[in-house]
Amino acid sequence: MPVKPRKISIWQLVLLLFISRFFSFMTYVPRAQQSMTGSTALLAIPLSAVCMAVAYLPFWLLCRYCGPDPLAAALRGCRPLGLGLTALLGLYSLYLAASTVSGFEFFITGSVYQNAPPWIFIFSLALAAAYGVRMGLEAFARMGTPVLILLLLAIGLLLATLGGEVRLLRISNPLYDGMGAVWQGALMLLINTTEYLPFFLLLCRTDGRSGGKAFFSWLAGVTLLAELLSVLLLSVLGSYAQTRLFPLHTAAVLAQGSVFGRLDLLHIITWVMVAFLRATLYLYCAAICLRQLFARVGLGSSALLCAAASILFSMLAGTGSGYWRALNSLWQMGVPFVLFTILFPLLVLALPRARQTSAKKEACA
Amino acid sequence: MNKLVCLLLAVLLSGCMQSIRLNDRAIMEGMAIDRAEDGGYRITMQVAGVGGTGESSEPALTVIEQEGGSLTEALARCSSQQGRQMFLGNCSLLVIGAELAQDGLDYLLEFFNANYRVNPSLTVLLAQGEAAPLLCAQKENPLLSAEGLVDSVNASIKGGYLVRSHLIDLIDAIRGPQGAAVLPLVYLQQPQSAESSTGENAASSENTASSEDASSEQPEPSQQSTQPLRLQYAGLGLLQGDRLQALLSTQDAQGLAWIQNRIEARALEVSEPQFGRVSAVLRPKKLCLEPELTGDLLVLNLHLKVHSTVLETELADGSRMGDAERTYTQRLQERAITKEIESLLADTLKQGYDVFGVSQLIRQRLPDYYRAHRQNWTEALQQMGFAVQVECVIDRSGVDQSIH
Repeated sequence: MPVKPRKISIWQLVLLLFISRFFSFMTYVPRAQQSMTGSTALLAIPLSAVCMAVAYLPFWLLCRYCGPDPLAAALRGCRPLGLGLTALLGLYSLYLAASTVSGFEFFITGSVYQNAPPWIFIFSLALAAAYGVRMGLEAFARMGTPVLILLLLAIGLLLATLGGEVRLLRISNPLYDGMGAVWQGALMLLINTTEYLPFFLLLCRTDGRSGGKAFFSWLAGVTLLAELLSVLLLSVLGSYAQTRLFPLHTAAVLAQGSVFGRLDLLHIITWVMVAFLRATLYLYCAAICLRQLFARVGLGSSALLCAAASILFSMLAGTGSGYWRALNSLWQMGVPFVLFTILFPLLVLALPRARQTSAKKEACA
Repeated sequence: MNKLVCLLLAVLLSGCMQSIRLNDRAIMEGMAIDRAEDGGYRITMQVAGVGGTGESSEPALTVIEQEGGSLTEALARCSSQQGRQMFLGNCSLLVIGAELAQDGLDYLLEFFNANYRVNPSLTVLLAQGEAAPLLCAQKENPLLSAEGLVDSVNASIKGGYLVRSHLIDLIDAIRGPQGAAVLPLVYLQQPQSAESSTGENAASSENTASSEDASSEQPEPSQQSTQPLRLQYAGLGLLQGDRLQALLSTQDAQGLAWIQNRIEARALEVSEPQFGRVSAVLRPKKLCLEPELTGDLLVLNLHLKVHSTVLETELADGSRMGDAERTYTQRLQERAITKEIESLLADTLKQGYDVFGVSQLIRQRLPDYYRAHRQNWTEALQQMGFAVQVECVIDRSGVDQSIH
């Protein structure tokens, strides 16, 4: 008799999403974001949060009328459409898991072990994430709390030790390049926010019903963190940040506390844990979609299959494959964001059979 | 079983990352770079190694020189010559020769910035002449190790004689709106027996010189003195973009130190023939830079508040420090500091060089003015007026009664 997965608290899910978003800040490469200058980001960040809040509305409506499980609602409404959407969601989750793994490998080989072969990090993280998926959502969700504590400790130490290096002179008017640049930056940040995907897929596995409060709490938290880190990096590194691959890591190298010495070691430890949790989260989402398509596949097998696929994708990313570049350009154009946050919920909402009365309760797959 | 598998993986996979043992590394403490005769680079390095007798655990420093068409080639030759891999992670000092600075530092800065092991807080100095002798001098005077030189520079920054010049400061200044950076100008000198030429005394009579003077030979050490070589500061080298453009005097360096606001305690002696001599330690309390636009004329208002503790007094009439003497001393101190700052502004801003971020300040406070004058910003800087106001308060004036 199949055992139903145990539910986690809604706030554990928020923690996981918060940690996942932090990965983006750690891997932020200024040279890759040519359209947005440093100070422009200070206004673009809250603006993107407002846009994200608006983009949440279709999913909120979907939860209200069709229940918290979007995949089940889609399958109820129209099975072929539901299967197609599930497959797309699964592939996108795999892509994000592979991005996490290749981003991790890029950082480690770029900043720590320059002479090391990249495959060792790709395999290690992907297989470790597969193990995390095999243990179940509750297991790696529990890990979120100590990782968050470590994360906050690392950020706190960074702020404390770099306080004396802050020069507010380096922060210019965010509107200097005009409102157009701010909107452009906000849209770029918006389409690069991917945490809506695990939120949509895992809400039904929490004890929360609608998740609105949790979603907005997460949004407020990451916006505040992004703003704080942006001010810190701008005011401490200034134009120097534009010349570095990983400005946050550079700031950690600069920060020297009397007892701790250089803080980049703490930064790297935090980075590894954050990367592990994020990779596990997206692999879990991919595994859910796979099991929705092929119900007989167990969680362990689906985790292994998804990890193998993510290893393959990560290797493609490392070789600069044309396919990977094409996928990346689709992502940068915002295709997945529009598809999954706006089109998907509205499409499912339009299906009469997708709706369910409040009396019906449906278990997640 | 799962835990055993994880433990085995962790232990076995750790050997896949090509670790290098400490004994196989040459740990570089400091580096000096000059232009080689063939147009390439000549690097001089202080490398730490374990040496000496069994009683002493102090690492011995070795000086290594090597040439190459590029920095990477020169370091690779060093590695093969030494049989150890050169490690830049502990390098705390970089000294650049004047000739190299005149040719441009872009390539050099790119090299250090791209090397992930190099700390962005690497201290960068400009040598008056060749850079190599500064690192080779460690053989004669152990205090001139890279660590000793960095300690000396840091102490001078806190003492208000120098300004900070880390790699991060250099790149930030060159790439930012100000476009100009400064490097402390250093040389070695064998002190004379009676006429000790410390940096601050020699500075008061120095004027701004052209950049060609920087590549002149260093002062010849005295043949008769047996004193060890000492590090001396000759002001600042001013870089526009990545090239050495001009030299600033030590008075300008002290003026910039006030504006950079990293001084902890600056010793200052003021004197007048009819008044006497007063020595005090000054601590900056507040610095306010405010650009003001009057019509189309931009004026930079600089207000500095300083607290002073008088340590020595030698008044002309033999009296002690009373209220009148205190007030007069404050005015003398204010005049001395104002002179240093105005000298800096005259030699930098008035020549179109922004060495302390006034461009960033104007972009922040007066964005419309900055945008309108961006294309001819050098002229805008030259036409800028400035008003310096220094307020000095003596909070302590030593003992009231004479000892005898």
